[in-house]
Amino acid sequence: MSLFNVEVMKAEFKNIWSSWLLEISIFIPLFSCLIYNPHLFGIFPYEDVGMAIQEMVAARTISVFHYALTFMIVICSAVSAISFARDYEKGLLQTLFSLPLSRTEIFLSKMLSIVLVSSIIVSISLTITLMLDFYFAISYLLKPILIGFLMAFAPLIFYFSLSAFIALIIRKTVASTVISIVLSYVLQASPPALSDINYYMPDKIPIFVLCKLLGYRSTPSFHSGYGLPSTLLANAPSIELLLILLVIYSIGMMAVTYTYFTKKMELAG
Amino acid sequence: MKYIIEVQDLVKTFNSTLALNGLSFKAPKGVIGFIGPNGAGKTTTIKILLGLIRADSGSANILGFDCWRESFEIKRRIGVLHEKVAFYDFMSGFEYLLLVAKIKNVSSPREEVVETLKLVELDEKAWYRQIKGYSAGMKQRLGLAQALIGSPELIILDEPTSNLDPLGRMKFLKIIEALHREREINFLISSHILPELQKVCNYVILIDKGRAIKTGFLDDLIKEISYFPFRIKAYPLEPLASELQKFDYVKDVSIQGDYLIVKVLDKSIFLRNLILLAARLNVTLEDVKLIESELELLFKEGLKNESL
Repeated sequence: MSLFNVEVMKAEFKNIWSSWLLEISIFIPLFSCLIYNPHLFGIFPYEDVGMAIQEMVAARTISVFHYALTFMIVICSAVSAISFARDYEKGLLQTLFSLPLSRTEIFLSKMLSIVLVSSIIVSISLTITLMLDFYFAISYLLKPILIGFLMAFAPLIFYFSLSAFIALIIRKTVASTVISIVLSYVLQASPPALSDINYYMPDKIPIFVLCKLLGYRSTPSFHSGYGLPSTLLANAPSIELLLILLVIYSIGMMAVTYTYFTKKMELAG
Repeated sequence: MKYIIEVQDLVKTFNSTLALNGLSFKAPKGVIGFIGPNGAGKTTTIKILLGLIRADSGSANILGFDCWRESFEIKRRIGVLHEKVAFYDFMSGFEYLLLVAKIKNVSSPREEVVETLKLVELDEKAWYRQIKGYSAGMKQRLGLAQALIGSPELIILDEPTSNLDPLGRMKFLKIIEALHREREINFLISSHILPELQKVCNYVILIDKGRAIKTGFLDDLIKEISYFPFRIKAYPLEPLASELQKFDYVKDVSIQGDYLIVKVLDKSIFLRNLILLAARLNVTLEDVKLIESELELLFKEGLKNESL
């Protein structure tokens, strides 16, 4: 018995990401990042604040990453719920369970095809936006893009697992998709902007980590919903603690859903 | 191995509904008819056999493997066609079967897919078309093809002909008959369409209210049937009716419109003597038909005895 089945993963990828869904999923975060380009509106004059190029890149990375991740979490949650609930309702899950595939292979195939693609879309948004902004300093972009890609993984795993769990319990496509979208949005939007609770939210932790790894120091100019307030950033827990929390959230939620899917779930209906 | 399926004291409840109430049976190699009224527990049993749901108590084995703990081993050796057929419908039938062949580690997947598609007689023009455009009959054939991939020892079919028209059902059952005869594949078929099922199965498991009522080889069970109802179209009817009443193997005779309804205890003696009697009485026999198939009679009698 193996953990992955490449053939099933390819099939799941095509099953989940129909071409229009993939196009919309790429377009929405990318468009939002591009439209919120400070150069476009002249609200983020790098030259005026006298920042070093790394700091400018870091500031823009944090901003774009935040936007792209917010959108992708909602899309990822919806897609995860649809994937499990629809396959259950159609009977495809029953068909897959009757083939010589382990439940682990099915779960991981779904997870990777959703989470990997979502992370790649975050990276695409990040790459295109940063390259447009910093075409003159391409060499500074590799590190933030790579870290951004890795940092997107954990919250996406968390939200994938949460939505999949909801779908497996409710087993109705529309209801579980709506609940997953609302829940993912509420979880992201509910903490007040300057509250300490942000340190412990699975979607905000990667941003603090990213800030610390890229050496981002907030200045008062970036407060208006654009960057992170310097006070919040200054008091953030250590990078180790943040990473541990991130792992606990993503692996913990995944373990719950995985255990239910592989050990407990019965296809009685 | 004497039995390919062994079920012992299976109990399964859904919320407060008792679906299986100590179900026990053993099934030998062959084509096994798994019958029972709606809600008898057939699909629940099949799902337990496939490891899709877990029994509250009792044990179920297929080919010597435990159905919950060793379901992976079972799935490597069997094929399944569920009542609700579902595939990756963005794929073509050929692509889908190729995927199944790869999952089942078939050594020459393309060759086997072509051979299987020909075997189930899926229209060649449809092989490379998206499954979402297939008719119900085509999906059923594709489902059977999927079950056949990888040379399984046993194929489980849950209501395989429910979506097919009569012609499609006949063709489907012919394929099953041929597969059993030529490839020695064993089948467990759950179906409501008993006259057709009778044509292919040689062993029967009748269940009701989550318990097995009758199990055995069809030929043996037929001997237990108390009477066989025949409908005879003949001219003239009256002399035949009055003469038939005199035989001790005839239980009841009645005339209903243009037909003579005769309930007999021994089918073969009756049929042999009917022709001689008709000739002696100068009666023209136009049609002699068993009103219900033996499997239907078994089904009815089994359920009747159970409710007493």
